[in-house]
Amino acid sequence: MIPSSFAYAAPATLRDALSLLAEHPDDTKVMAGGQSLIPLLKLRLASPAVVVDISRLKALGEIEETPSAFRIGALVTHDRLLGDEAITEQWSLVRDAGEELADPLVRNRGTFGGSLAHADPAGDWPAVALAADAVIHVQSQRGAREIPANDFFTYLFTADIADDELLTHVELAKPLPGTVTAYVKIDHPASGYAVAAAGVSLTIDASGTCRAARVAFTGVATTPLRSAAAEQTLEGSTIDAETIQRAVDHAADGINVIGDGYAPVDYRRHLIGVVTGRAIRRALDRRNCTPDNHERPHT
Amino acid sequence: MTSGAQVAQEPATSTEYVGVSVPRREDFRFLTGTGTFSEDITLSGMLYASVVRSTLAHADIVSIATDAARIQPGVVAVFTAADFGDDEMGTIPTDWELPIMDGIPARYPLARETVKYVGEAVAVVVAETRVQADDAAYFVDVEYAERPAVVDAELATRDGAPLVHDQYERNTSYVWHLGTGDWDSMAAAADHTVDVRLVNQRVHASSLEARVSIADYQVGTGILTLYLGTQNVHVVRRNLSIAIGIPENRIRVVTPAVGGAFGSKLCLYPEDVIVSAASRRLRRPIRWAETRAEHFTGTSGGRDHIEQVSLAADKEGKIQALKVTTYANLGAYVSGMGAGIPVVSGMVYPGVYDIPVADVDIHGVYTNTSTTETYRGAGRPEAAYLIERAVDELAAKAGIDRVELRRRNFIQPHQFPYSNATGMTYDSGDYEKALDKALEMIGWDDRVAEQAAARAEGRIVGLGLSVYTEFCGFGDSFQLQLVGFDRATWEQSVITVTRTGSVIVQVGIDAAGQGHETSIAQIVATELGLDIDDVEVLQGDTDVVHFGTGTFNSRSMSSAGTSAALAARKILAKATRLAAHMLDVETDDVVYRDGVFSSGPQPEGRQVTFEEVAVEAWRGVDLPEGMEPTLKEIAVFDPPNFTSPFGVHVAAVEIDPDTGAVRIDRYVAVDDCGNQINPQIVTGQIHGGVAQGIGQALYEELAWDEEGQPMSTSFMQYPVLRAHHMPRLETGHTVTPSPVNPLGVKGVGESGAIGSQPAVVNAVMDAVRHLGVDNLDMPLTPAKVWTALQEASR
Repeated sequence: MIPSSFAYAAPATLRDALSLLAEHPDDTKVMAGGQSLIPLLKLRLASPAVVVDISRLKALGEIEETPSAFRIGALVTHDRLLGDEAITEQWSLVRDAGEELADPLVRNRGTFGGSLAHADPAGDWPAVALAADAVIHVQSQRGAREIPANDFFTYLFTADIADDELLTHVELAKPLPGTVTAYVKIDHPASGYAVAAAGVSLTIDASGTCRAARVAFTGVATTPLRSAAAEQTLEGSTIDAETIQRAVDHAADGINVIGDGYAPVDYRRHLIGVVTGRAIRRALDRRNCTPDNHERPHT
Repeated sequence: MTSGAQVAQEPATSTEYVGVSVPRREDFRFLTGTGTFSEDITLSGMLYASVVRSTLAHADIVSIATDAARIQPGVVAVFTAADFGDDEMGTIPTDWELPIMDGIPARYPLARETVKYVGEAVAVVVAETRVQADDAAYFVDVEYAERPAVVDAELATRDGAPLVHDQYERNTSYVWHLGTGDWDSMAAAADHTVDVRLVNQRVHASSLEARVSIADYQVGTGILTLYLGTQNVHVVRRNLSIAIGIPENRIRVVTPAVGGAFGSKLCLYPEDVIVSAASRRLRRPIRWAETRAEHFTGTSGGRDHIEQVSLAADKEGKIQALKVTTYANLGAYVSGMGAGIPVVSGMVYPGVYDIPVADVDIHGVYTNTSTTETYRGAGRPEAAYLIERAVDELAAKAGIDRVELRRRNFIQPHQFPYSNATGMTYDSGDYEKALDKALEMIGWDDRVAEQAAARAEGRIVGLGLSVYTEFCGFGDSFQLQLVGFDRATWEQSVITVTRTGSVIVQVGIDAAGQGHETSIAQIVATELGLDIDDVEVLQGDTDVVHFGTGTFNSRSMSSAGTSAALAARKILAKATRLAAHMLDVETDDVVYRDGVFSSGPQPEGRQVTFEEVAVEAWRGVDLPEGMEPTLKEIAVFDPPNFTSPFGVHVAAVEIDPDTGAVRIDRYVAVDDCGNQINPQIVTGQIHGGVAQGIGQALYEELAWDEEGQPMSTSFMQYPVLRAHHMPRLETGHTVTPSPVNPLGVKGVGESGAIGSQPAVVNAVMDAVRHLGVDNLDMPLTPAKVWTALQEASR
């Protein structure tokens, strides 16, 4: 189909972009790579009055590495992120998720920032952002804000971004020593989106005790979210088969699991445990592999 | 991925193309984007149509307000049914009305009093641009009074079910009985009986190219040209003529390249009539191009049968009798060949087995869903699935090895032609040969041993097979007309040799990607002893080819291939007579080989080339007594019967116990389509058919909720098989030539879709039966398999 008509603006500077968003706070959609927005427009599921194309804001297309973090600009494509060895070596789940995300055509155009702002309840990057404790930076004429990933996804396709705000970049802190991560997805055969997926980050000390755990899901509820029950089970424990099983058994606790014709509620609840167990095991398998062995000092 | 495709080899003589994998001449344009598809056609002054559709499954139309739409920018007209009389936009004819049906419910291209499925056309907006038409369509306001709807064919036959058509007392359109003998006495005397309920779900062909219709009515000539992607331009011409009252000789139907059809582009659709009537009214060309959502809701799907099947067998597992009750969902109306498909399906329910008694009742039922039609296999996949699932259940229940049980029941080679208990005659078959080959290819005994070991480790693994036969090349016109089939069974070819010796072949079939231009050229070049590049094949335009029946039922090689060969033989006979005249010898003394006529054995004799003969025929100055100038011949071939391809498919699967996901580890397909014209095309057809069969077995389902709202309107919901879902296929062939046509060909377009679903589902059932799962219906989604395993373990 063909979208209904809309005004189109492609500002050259962040200031102009923010000014446009301030002028048309209602009924405006920001477009980065367009891989989610354009299909919605074509199906007329979205009919904004104005589309603000931010693809000319070149400053948002960079990845910056600081001693403690990676700053990922809003226009960094999936493919670019997947090709960033510094990030994928330290955050293996970025590689896991990136390789499972859509197809090469989408990965070449779609963006990390756009994917987070779109807040698809089955999107891959939201689970990664949650598991990695990413911080989302937004800006408007009123000023800048930073929102922890855990507070960012508020409802179906809804994130904590005001109508006049623009996601500028995402900050991914470097993992603590001893951190291993993984992302495991069971996808829908038609859409490729997650029926259930888990992003896991485990920080394990020299004695083998898990000091910090993040277990995040996508595809299972109205928003991507973390599993407090699974994290509590893992933190402070040695990650052995028994602990993993406990985490699997409790992974869906407290989650209002959604169901549909392809994956009814009970089945999807079960899958939450399956992807939790698989992601934990995949992460643990990386403990002794060099790229993920963060017990070694980084230089 | 392919193992069966062979690289073109140097043929015995340079013009022996039959049996050689000549590269498809179509592929260059299809792979480089240089083909012309319907939507590539833009005519001067063309308008664009957008169709307003029912949002309810069943409702009375209270009012349609079009004023707001009419004043939108660019809008030229908004039409509803009220704008056209029956003479301008009449009901859509069908091609198959069974004699026991109480008529065909009137299907107007634009709904009149009621709408009967979500997606039914109620109005059309015509505007200067596509965007304007789509925008304005939102301003058409239809007020409905909703009525109760029914979507399930079996439920629709129950007392108190909502009636789809008020003029009938029930939703059952017909109950067709097939079979011979007495089931009850056979069942009473049987040592083993099985009873299985199967659901063969609705699926959708989902061709890459959706439908497009462009109508161009020329007021100066009174001629209407319709461009569309179709599998049969001549049937469209006839039915359009009936629907809009323009005689057939003033309608031209053109189908350019077609991006897939699989049976979904055989009938005349409402939109074809709507744009034609609107173009006549507005005197301008109009294009309508379907969206994917419209395709899923409006374009016919296939299958949708609910079957209760029983077998009765003796102590050794010899099947004595078959009983089936089928509820076939016709949809809201009768589309094209839709009514006949369930019946011909019933005619092959006995499959490859020599079963003396059959008792089959087929209920054709109306529901508030889109229409069902031909879809790759059209009745034979349902039949193969039914009998092969039931035979596996019988083997399990009787404790007889399923391979052995099949061997005990096979129709034997000496029994052909064989008439089964449901009235179908199979032309030929040799099932043991194909079975042995397939079992050898997969290493059946080794796989069985491996399976036992894997199960001991707690893995869930299964092996499944299916042995199928089917029918192709719609033949025996007399028999078919008795059951109300209202299409021709013959096919014609016209061959013209130009002044310079190049050859034009006009065939009445219409390819949608099958490679006819290559394979028909192979046949004609071989018959005429010419270079294949000298042969051009034309199809898909009623002004180029005046008669034809189209491409369906895997009939193109057996019907058009044969008529092309026969026309070529007429050409060669005339050319040989003229060559004899030129060489001044008797016709019988002329030797012809590779484009050269000789007065005796080559190379000694005097010679004239095919081209020199063509020139002489064209000049027409010095011809033998009574010979007319030119080399142009027509041949019409009406097959005396169907052909009977057959084959054996074997699948090895493993199920993930955590998720219920089915993975196909090995897939072997041995198919016998008789003589092969182009082995690579044959293998390609098997690959495509198997892909669609696996799609139905594991992934696809076109479903509606209880209110009749469609659950799948895009590729986000409807899982057409992707490359990574496809196992590596190991293909093989046996060759049992058909006796019903001189080429000995049978047809292969649908075989892959017929053998595959039962093989895959039998493999999954083999994996889970011993765990306590006694039935599963397609698609075998992970959730379904996992849930069944959970319930079985309780």
